[in-house]
Amino acid sequence: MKQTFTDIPAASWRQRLRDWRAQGFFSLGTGCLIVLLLLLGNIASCTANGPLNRTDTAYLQPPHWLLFQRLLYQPPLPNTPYYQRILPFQEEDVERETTPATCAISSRPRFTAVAGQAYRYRVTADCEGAVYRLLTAPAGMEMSEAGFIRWTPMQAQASGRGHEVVVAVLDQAGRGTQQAYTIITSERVHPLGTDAAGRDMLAAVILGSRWTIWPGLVAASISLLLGVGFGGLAGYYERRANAFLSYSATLSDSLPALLLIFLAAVIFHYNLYPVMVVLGVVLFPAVARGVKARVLSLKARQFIEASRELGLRDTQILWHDIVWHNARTVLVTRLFYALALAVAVEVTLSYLRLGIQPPTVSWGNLILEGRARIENHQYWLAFCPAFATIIAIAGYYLLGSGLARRFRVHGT
Amino acid sequence: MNAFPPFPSFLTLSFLPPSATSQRLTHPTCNARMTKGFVYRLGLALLVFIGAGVLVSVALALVPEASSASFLERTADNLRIFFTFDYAGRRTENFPLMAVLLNRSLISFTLIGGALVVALGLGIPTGLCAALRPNNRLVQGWLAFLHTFSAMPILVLGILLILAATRLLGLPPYRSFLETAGPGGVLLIYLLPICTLAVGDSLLADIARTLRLEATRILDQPYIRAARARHVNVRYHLVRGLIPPTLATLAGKLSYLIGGSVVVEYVFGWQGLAYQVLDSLTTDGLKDYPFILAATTLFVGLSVLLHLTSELVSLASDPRLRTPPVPA
Amino acid sequence: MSSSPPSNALLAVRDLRTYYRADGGFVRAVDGVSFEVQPGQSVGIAGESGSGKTQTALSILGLLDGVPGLVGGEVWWEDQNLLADLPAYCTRQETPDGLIVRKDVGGWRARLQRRLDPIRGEQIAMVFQEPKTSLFPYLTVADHLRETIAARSGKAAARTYEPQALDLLQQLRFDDPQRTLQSYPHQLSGGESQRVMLGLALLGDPRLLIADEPTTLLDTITQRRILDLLGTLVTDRNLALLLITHNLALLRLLVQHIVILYAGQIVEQGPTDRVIRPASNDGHPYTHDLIQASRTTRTGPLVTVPKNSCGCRYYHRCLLKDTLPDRIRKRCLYEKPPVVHLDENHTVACWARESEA
Repeated sequence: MKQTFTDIPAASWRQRLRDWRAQGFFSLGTGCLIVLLLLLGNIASCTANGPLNRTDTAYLQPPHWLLFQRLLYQPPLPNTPYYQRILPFQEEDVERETTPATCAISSRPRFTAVAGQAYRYRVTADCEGAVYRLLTAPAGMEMSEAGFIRWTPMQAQASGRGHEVVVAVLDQAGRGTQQAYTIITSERVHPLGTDAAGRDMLAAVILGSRWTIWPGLVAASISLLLGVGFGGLAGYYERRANAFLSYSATLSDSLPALLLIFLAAVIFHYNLYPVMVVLGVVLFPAVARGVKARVLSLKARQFIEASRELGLRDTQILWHDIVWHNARTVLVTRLFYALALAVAVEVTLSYLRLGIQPPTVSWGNLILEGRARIENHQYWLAFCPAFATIIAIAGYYLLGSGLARRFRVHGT
Repeated sequence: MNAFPPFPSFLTLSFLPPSATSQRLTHPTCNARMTKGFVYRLGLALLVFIGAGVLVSVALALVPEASSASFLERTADNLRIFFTFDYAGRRTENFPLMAVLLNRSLISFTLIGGALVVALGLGIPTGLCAALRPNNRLVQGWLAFLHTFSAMPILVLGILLILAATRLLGLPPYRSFLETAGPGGVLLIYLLPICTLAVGDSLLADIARTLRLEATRILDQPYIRAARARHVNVRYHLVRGLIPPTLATLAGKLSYLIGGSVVVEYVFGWQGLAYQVLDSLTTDGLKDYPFILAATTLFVGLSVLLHLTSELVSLASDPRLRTPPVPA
Repeated sequence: MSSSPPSNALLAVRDLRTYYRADGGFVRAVDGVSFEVQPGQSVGIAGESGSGKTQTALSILGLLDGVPGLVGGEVWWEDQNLLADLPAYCTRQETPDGLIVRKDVGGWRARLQRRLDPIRGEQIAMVFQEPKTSLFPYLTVADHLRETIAARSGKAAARTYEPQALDLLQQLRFDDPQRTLQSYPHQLSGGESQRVMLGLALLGDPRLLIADEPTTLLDTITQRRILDLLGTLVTDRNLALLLITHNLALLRLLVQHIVILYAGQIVEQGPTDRVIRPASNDGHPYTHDLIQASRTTRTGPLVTVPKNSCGCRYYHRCLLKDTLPDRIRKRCLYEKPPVVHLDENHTVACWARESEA
């Protein structure tokens, strides 16, 4: 396959976009956007008052937005046989009962309805000349000859109960199939549905974003402080601090970090912030190694000798030359990596019941409750918090790598 | 002894210094240096093991429990159990500890071993292809795809895979459904947790990235170019040069693998060793400390062993660390 | 594109082009280089760093790493064109806006390796600039020799190679061949490693030896010894030698024909005594620069080629142009200088010499 190499400057917008992408602007932009969303979620959750429980909302209502409902809640809707008895039992009835119908219902309904809003469902069958019947319906639901179901739930009907609906389709010979499903009504629109406790999924996810920023900052700041401290010292005064640093690095490599975090969670009785301190301590050897490598490479370049001869104090050299100018990339990537890891650790801990305890909302809690419902085809309960976790971690990761690329472009 | 050293076969070159039987190695200076390096690293490994034991004992003694022993007494007890391997004082289960340990370990190591196989099996070709064909669009796309999925925590990856598999199968791929599943279902039930463990926490991505970096670094070396000009097969040298970095990456990732296996076992319903440790830690009432200490000994011992092996392999593969330079 | 060799030379290079894509433009490492090496003749390639000397040698042996790499030319080895398939894999198109190259990089690389495998090592051998790092750091000299022999004649020959190895090391003027055989590269000095490299190169009994700056990193005494050895080996085995260096004094000792490269193009080539001369009113001004440079240790600026330069590439450094009339200077700036034959074997690419001839 031939590749094309050319030095003709491509003035097209495509080339410019590619250049921007290579310089990391897209990563940076997306990451900033996501972190901004997280901050907004944090602010919203701080100003939210009172629990999310409402007794009049629907329980386990699927997402109301049709796209999400199609993706996240599609229980099997089998076509069961249906026979219309015109006369008392006759031999034709036996024949009708034993031969399978040629008509099947090929449409899938919407499973949610909101009080005061129109509910529409068009039943279609895969044969010609079908006759539609509405066998069971809640009060106020009507079906036209062509199979259009129309219903506007009233306030009294919107108590979160399920309403049974059975539609049937008959072919010319009087044989048919029927489709039975349940509509769950509610007073308000729940775009992402509700969970078993009646909480709106969207509100729960926004509330759960409370734990994405501040615990992570605790862990990141501790790991950075310790890492820069020990790494700088180990690189600068090579002999004395080196042994301790290499030992602690090997130790933290050998111990399963997650088990240590679990131990910390049990010891501190499920309080998240001390666990984050422990996470920071677990992460610091890696940071220290990066900083120490930078310091050593600088020493080899006799940068530091020159600064010392100019009369700068050791701490000044350490900060200005080493940390700010040269360890910038290392620190930025490590900061955001620690933030992303903190989110992951918090979600995992809450899922294992070692972190945020219910009724306080956390994404891990939501996933835990949702996992039990996966067998009932109620995917949105587990999917929404999982997706939010992915977005949060991806946001931090993109921000970190975008910043690192900008630093590299400008020269670290 | 003027015997010309025997031809170094592939296997001996991987594990032993090439002139293993030559006169050089019996030279007192270099022999002492290599032994010195070996002993130093062995001592460091032992020190790490001891440090880990102390840390875990202290941490376990801090766990809040309604027992009458003080913190120091509990620490001393834990230290005794850890270092004397005396697991007789179990308070909870009726089965002997070794039986439980073996049973659970089998499951855990099936998961971890399978994850290692998948990660190496996919990561090594990816890294090599990326190094040998850096401009290939397919390889670049695959690497970008890996990168995006690697940062996901194992929990989320597992949940997503369960959702996808339930859509396919109709039933979630939990281990409890193993009997009722067809051959495709059995495959998925075994494969899904292994793949989650292999991809999550960026094990696969790290292996691919390390291999790409190291392979590029080796191929840029002057001795590779000189060897190609002599019509010598460089593939063997590439493989030989890649073994120490791969082992080092694996050693670094093993602790994350063990931690991840807890989550995978919890999510997919496998009753493995790590899950049992978590269970022991979170039960109210008497916690099974000897079991937790035994499991920790196993995990830490494995990790330390792998680190030691990787360091010894890097030591053995570079003669500059073994023989003193002769002044020109 | 011809299907028969241009002459009965051992190695004939015609219009060789190697371009690399970098930073919005092309780096024209080798831009239309043509020269010949007769059997048993020593040819030198001279030029400063960045002029494309090493790239020419690597292009001949197919050891290039960048993209797109080789984009055109012919390399005739005896009576075979090694780059015969190149037009099928690569097309070049010069447009007013720039250059477009279309090349199937992977396919060409595979094709070239298949074609060059029997030639590398057995017929053309190469020694490189950094002798210590050109040897595997984890193999002893004995292992190197055995590996090369095994690649050529099989493992059986490798196992019984010992007496010939000691003989070879003695030819390479090693005092203690046994100790050398068992040494690792970091235990050898620079001169010793370079001699080992020479030995490895000569193992396959090649007909052409390419030496890429073999003595640049060594001290002067070792340089003399290695060049001495090189000269002896070349005459003993009737080797053709392609010596690449920036030091013209070396070339004057060893080679019979010199090619001067500047910015990837040949600016002058001819017999040694014609090219290296005291007077500066003959030949190319850059040659005079080089001769002056090898007498002193002045380091000049690196070779930079402005993009879309269509005139003489040496223009901005040329001291001769100030003495030229305006109309010739304009041709230097805008038109590529033609190849002027000052003698039967002596050519120069310069507008000033063209007007004189």
